[in-house]
This record gives sequence, structure tokens and C-alpha cells, in this order.
Amino acid sequence: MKTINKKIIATITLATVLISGSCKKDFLKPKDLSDFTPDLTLTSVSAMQAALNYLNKNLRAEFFGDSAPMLTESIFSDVAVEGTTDKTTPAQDLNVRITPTANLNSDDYNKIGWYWKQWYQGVRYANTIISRIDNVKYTSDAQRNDILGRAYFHRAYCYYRLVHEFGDVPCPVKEESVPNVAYASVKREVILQQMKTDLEFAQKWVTDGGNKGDVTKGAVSHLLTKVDLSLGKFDDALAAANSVINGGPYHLMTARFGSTGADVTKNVIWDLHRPDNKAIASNTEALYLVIDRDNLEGNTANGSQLMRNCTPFYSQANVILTPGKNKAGIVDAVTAEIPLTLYYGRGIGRYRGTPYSTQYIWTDNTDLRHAPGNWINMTDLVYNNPALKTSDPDWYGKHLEQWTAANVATRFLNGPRDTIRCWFGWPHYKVFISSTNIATDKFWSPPRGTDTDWYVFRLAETYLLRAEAYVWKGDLNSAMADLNVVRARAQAAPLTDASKINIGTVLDERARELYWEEPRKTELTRIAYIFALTGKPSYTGKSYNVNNFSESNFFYDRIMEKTDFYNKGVVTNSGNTFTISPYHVLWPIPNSDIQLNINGHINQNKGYAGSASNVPALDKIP
Amino acid sequence: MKSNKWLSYGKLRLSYGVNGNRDIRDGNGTVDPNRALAVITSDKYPTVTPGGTATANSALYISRMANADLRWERTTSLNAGIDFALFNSRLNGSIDVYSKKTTNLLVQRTLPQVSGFANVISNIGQVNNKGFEFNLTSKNIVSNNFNWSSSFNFFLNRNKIVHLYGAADVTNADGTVSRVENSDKANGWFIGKDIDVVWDYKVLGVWQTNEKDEAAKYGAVPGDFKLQKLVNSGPNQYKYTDDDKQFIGYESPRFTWSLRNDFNIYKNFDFGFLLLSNWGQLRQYNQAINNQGGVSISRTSSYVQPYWTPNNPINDYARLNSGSSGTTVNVWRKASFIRLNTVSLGYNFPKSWLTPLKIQSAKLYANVSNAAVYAPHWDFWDPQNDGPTPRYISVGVNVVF
Repeated sequence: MKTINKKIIATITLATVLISGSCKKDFLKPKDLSDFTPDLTLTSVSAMQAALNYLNKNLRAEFFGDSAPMLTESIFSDVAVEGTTDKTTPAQDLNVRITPTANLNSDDYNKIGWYWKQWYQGVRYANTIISRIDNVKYTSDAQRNDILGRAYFHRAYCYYRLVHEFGDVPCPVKEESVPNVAYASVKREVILQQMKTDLEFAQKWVTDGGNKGDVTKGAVSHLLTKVDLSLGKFDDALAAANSVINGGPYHLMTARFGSTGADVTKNVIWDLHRPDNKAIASNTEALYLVIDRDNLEGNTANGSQLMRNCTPFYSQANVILTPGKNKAGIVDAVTAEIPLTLYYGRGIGRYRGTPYSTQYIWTDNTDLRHAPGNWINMTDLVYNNPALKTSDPDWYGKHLEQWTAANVATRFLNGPRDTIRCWFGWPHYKVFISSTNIATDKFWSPPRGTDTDWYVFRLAETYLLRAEAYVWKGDLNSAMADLNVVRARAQAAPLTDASKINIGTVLDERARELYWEEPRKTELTRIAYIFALTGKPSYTGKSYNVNNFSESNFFYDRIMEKTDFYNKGVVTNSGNTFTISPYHVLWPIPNSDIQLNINGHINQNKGYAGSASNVPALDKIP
Repeated sequence: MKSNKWLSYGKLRLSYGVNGNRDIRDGNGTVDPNRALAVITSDKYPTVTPGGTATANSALYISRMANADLRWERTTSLNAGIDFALFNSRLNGSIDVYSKKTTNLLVQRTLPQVSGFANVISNIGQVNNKGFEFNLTSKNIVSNNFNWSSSFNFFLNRNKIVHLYGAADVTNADGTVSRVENSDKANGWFIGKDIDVVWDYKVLGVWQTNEKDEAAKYGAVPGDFKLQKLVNSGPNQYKYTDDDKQFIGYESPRFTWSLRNDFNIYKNFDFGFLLLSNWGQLRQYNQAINNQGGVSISRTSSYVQPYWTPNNPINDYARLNSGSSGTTVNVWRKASFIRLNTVSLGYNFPKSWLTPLKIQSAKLYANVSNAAVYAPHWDFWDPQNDGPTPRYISVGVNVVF
């Protein structure tokens, strides 16, 4: 029996050898045995889920790190300017600085080129999933379409940002297997229309209630609301927003909750933005958030650094002087008797809130978003330099005194110019990375802000998007009602005169609610496009059109109306003057990509060198 | 055959060959045979379950682009040479000329970021190399108490990109399609040019105080570098574009040579030195912009180097914190050099002293490596590596029992 078996095995083996023995072409194909290759790996549901995880991570990077990209989004708007005044490199003199050949991806300059790179990476990661979607065996169509829908969400997120940062851009929608250097710019509306179609599919299949940190149906509909608005399809935008507000498991957090819920000195706004409260099940406001924990692999190296980016550089050595004998008032030591940097983080004032976002919009005394403890004004700090005990004892431990035009020269080392970086109020409840009153930081001392979860889409913004859609439709009562939902939760007085509601009102409320959550430049440009597409006059009575978008637009007019920096020719300690122009409504396409694309033509945006050789953008996605 | 009085030895060589190369290396310099294949990198991304448990999950992405079109690099070379020895072998040498044609040159090619990849291993169509090499060794003086020999080597190579990626359909501004083969500016590869050619703005000097208004038109201030403008009309009259870039030199030496001299005096003294030279290459010298980007100049110690001020209106260094004009400026300087690479001096103790001590040989020596560098246009670190190169002086005794 054994012998027979052996003979059979031998025969089969021989036959196999004979059958497969002839050298097929396949034999010459290289096989990579020591690495994971896409054809072998991306064939299971769990691998697809892992590929989606990387897309979440790709998206997360915008919010965190020193000189985080979100800073660049914020300074091309009415809410902030670049406050790093001890260098000539930062993006302040935008007219001179922001060119296609400038350094566009650097902590010291700006992150325009970072966005270009990061979103196209996201597009590629999503295209990989989309092109390979049917290489996997699913348990049901629903499972397949859920994964496909999430990939569609991510691709749409990237393109939504790209078209509002850069205008008409190339639009790859498939995984590419050979080097492509023949890209062409596609019209913004054409790209957005495709994203709308994709998101409408995703809305049907993506589900709510999964793990926090994953895309949800609510996030899909929220993004669809933005895309619909961008296309001027206001009824569709209302429908998409309604499906989030009325049809999902989402509710604004109006009552105390989470790890800080029992602290009677705090309030719901404080609870809502604590790092450890964002991803808990009882938080029903987050539609989509990114997770980042300093004790889990995959975290952002060196922390979020939110306090470093966003808090004024109050501790800059010898800069803030006491009113008495004009002595150095503040130190950054964590060992000081009054360790300010443990209470607020050691900020370096990269994000310099404008008077518009730090003062003018705060007209309401009851608003929790501006309440003492949540919002910090400079006069809430105290002079903590231990040396004052002998050099200027009257002022040690006393609150900082507001400077005036008459005394500013003696209150700062370099006079008024130091107020750019070292003197402004900020939303402590947003950027303070801790759930206690002492900042924690695994990576830095004094603390800069360790890793933290962050909201990408939150229901409060859905209300503000729906309010915006109502404004565009002229239904000001409904717009006011939505604004008031958000205001009521923050205990701000409700708006009462619907006739005064306009896009400016919506933008003001967004600035109050969405600090470091909304990409302000993207949203301002989106709104500028809607003004240009519809021809509706803005609240100033001015109307716009698409033909001269780069010469006259709402984006520029809004910034010049509000910032008190770009419009006033403010000069920094390093001699940079704050300037901006209408064409900055779209960022420059990095010149290297135009050069590398040798067999096609990527258009440069008007106003920048290179736009003279533009060709018409494509009417359909190639 | 009649013996030749001056020619001691002579040989003519002619060779032709084809070589293949698939030597693609990864970032660490290790040969990686799988570079044509796409590869997946595994990372982590945390999520939180509805129950509140946070876990770091697997997160995958394709980190390397596949290039299904990748081929072996092929070099055909034709080499002609002559080896000779003259005057009773006092003079030895060789002369070689070669012509090489490399097709499908393996390179790391930068891709548009729109592709989502930074680069891909790729082939460049065709690069031709022509070169010349000359070696000469001579025994200049041969005598009882004084010997002097020299060897000299000279090398030059010229190359030219003949094809890049082949012709492709390109849509013209008027909508027509033509087949053209374009240069690849951003990778620095130009058809018909040297693979190491430098294509950049030409720095003319520094904007001076009396040129303030003119500088302002370009977004510059006095103390910033003044670049040559080639397009002086139209919408880009005051903006620097690719049209203002020009071919300003080469990153590789135009020729290299070395000269070695060895002396032996009174039998026991050895003396020798070696000169090396690379000539005609450019190297980036962006330190001259006096702006490291960060806060380093204002907060940390820096090497002493010149900088422009209104009272020090120099033309080869910019003001402190220059470079705010929105144009990425590269300063290129000639990095030609002649290096006195080694100097050695030795004394061999006479056998007559050593034999009673049962010592076979003993030598006292002193060597200097990197003794001196002559670099007329380069005034920073070492012109060869842009960093500090130490000078070693070693003194020793070598005794063999």
C-alpha cells in the first residue's frame, strides 16, 4: 500500500513538473518575497480597512505639529496672521512671499506646498482602494459599498480642499501604474460634480455608529453639504444637512459630560473640547474626528503642539515689562512659583488672532466661548518673574496691565511691534491639551501640547452650513434659527433681527465656534466662489463675477475689511510688512509640478508668474 | 627586426563591449532587486470602539510606485588605447580614449506630486559619454644618491543626454497634438546637455542702496541678491520665471588630474607628495544668502562670514536674513581646487646600525594628509564636500625585528 502511494505521488509530481515545466513568461516575472506587495496584500476586507485607516492618518496631519498646516489655512483669512516676528521667512508679506517658485513647504515659510502634496497623496491612497475594490471577496454588497463609500469620502475631502485652495487642478481618479507626466487641469465645478456623485453613493452605504476615528454617514452628508454649497445647489445642501441634523444619531452637547462633567467651575464648552471627552460614546456631537494618543502607536511625533502654535509668546524672554519699573515681567520656567507655562502652555504666537477674531466678534458677555476660564485675555495672566520680588516688588504676582498707545513703548522690549506676537487673547478651552488645570506634555517641558483627538466635522458646523444655505436662499428666519441653536448651546444671547442676517453673520459665528477646526481659507474661498457664481451682492452691496475672480473677490474684500493687519500695513520686528492681494484667493500651484509634468499642462493661477501660458481647463475628468 | 632605440615597449589596444546593469540601490546603498515592484508599508492609526477602548490598528499604504516598464541599463563602449614605455623604460604611460553609449540609464526620477509619489526608479533613454585619460610615469633622475620619480594622471569626460523618455503626444496651446520629446527641467535633465548641467538664475551681484527703487519692483530690498532677468517685458517683467533661468555651468569637474612625486636621497631619506585637482565644477553656496530659514542667525553662534550692509556694500554675500523676494535663489560658486593631498617624509636607519641590535629594519616617518588646498573661488569649508576635512599629521617609528 505504502509503495503504491509513493508511486502515485511520484507520478503526480512528475506530471506536475511536465505540465508546468515549460518555461512560461510568468517565470520571468519578479516576485518580491520579503515585502508586502499590493497585488497580494490588498485582497482582504481587513487590508482594505487598514488602507482606509491610513487615509484617516493622512487627513489628521493637518492639525498637528509645530507650525501645523492649519496655520497656513488660518493666515490666509480674516481670523489670523502669521505671528512669528523674529524671522523674515514667515508668510507675512504675501505679495512678495507667495510665488510659485518660493519655498512653499516649510515650518519657517508656509505649508501651501504641503497641502498640495498631502491631498494628492490622499487622492492616491483613495484611488488605490477604489481601483482595487473588486479584488476582495465581501460578505455582502453592503460591505463592499461601505468601504468604497469611505474611500469616496476621503477622495472627495481631498478634492474639496484642493479646488478651494488651488482652483482648477489635475484630477486623477484611478490608480496609476506607470509614471504620468501628462496631467491637465480640470475645471473646479467638474471635479466638484464628480465628488457630489460619489458622496451621494457613499451616503447610501456608509454607516454611523462604528469606531470613533472612522468616517461616518454623518461625515459624508456633512461634506456633501459643503460640496453642494460650492456648486450653488442650495436645496441639495439643505437636504444633505437635514439628513445629518434630523436623520442621524447626532445631537449638540448641551449638558455637562465626560471626565470634567462634575467640575462645577467649568461648563459644557470646556467639557466638549477636552482631549479625553471627544471620542467617548456619550459625546453625540462629533460626526468625524481623528484620534491621536501619545501612548498608542501611530501617534503624531512630538505632539500636537497646539499651545505652542496658538498661544501668545507671553513668556518671550524680557519682552513684556512691568508697568512700575519696566522690568522683565514673565518667565517660562515650569519651576517658577507661579508656573504660567503649566497653566497655559508655552506659546510662541505663530497663530496671531486678528482684532476681528479676538475682540470685535465678542460682543456678548454671556457667551461661554469667550467666558473667563475658557477664553484667556492677557490681563488674566500675572507677572511671574521671581526676580521682580526684589526689582519691582509691587508688580510681582499682579495681573498684567493693559497697555495703551501712550505707554506701549515702555511696556515692551521693542515697543508696539512686540504686541503682534506677545499680546492677544485666545480660546484656552480649545488649545489647552489637558483635562486638569495643569498642561501635560509627554514630549516637551515647558509643555507645548501633547497628542490629542481632534474634531474634523462636528454637528455645530452642520447647523452653520445649513444657516449659510438658508442665507443664500434668502430664508433669513430659518438661517437665524440655526445660528441660534449654536449660540444657545454656548449661552450666547440669541439673534433676534432676521433682517440683519447675512453671510458676514455666518462667518462671525463660524469664527466663534470653529477655531482651528474649520480651514478658514478654504471656506472663505468657497464663499467667494458662490458670490462670483451667483452674482448675489454681498452685505457691502458689492457683487462679483467669475471672469475677474482673481482681481475682485469676496475673499480679499473680507480680509481687508476685518484683519487690521493686511489692511493697515503693519510691520514686524524683522521688517516684514503684512500685505495680501485679491489673487491670493487661490494659492500658487508649486512650480516644480508644472515643470515635472512635461507632456501636459497644469495651469498656474492668475496673478502668479506662469499663468500667461495657461490653456483652457478640461470640461470632463480624463 | 631592428631594435628601436627609444621605444622600449608599445601596445595598441582596441576594445568594444556591451555591459548590462541592474544595480538599483535603496536609500541605504544596498542593492534592491525588487525596486520595480510596488511595496506596501504598514503603519498604525488608532480608533476608539463604542465601548471606549482605544487601539492602534494597522494602517497600510503603497509607499513605492511600481514601474512595469523598467529595464536593464545597457552600455556599449568603444575604447582605444596605447600603452608605451620609452627611453629604456624611463617613461611609461598610457593614453585612452573612449566613447560610451548608455541606454535606459537607471535613475531615480522625481515625479509630479499630483501622482501622489515623490519619485520612481526609471530609465533615461540615452546618454553618451566621451572621454580621454592619460597616464605617465617617469623616472626623472636615477642615480646612486638621488632618485626622483613622478606619475601624472589626467582625465576628462563629457556626456550628453540624447533621449529622455521618448516622444509623447503633447497638446499645444491651439489644441493640436504633436509628438515631441521634452526636456525634464525639474529633474535637471535637458536633451542635448550634460547630465550634470546647472540650469538656474544667474546671480549678478547684490542690490545696492542706490538701486532701492529698482529692487522693489522685483520684491527685493538692497542687500538681496540681484538675479539676471532674461525676459524684460510682458506680464512677467518683474517676476522671475523659468524663462529667466539659464545654463550656468556643471556640477561635475570638467577635468581632473593628479601628480605624484617620490624622492629618495642618500638612500635613506624618502620624500613624496601627491597633488589632486578637480577643475571647473560648480557647487551650491547658499550660505551666502545669510538666511538659514530658522532663527539660527539671531539666536545661535554662527561661523564668521561676510554680510552686506549699506556700509559694507559687497557683491558676493547678501544682507542678514536675505531671501525674502519669493524667488528661490541658489548661489553657485566655482569649487575648483588643487589639493596637496599627502606629504610624506621618511628616514630608514642604516642596516649597519641595526644588525648589532638584531633589528631587521627601522624607519622614522612623518606624514601629513590634506596638507593644503588651493581653491580660488571657494572660501568656506572644503570645496570637495562642503564640510570640514581634517588635516592628519602622523609621526612614527616602524621597527621590524
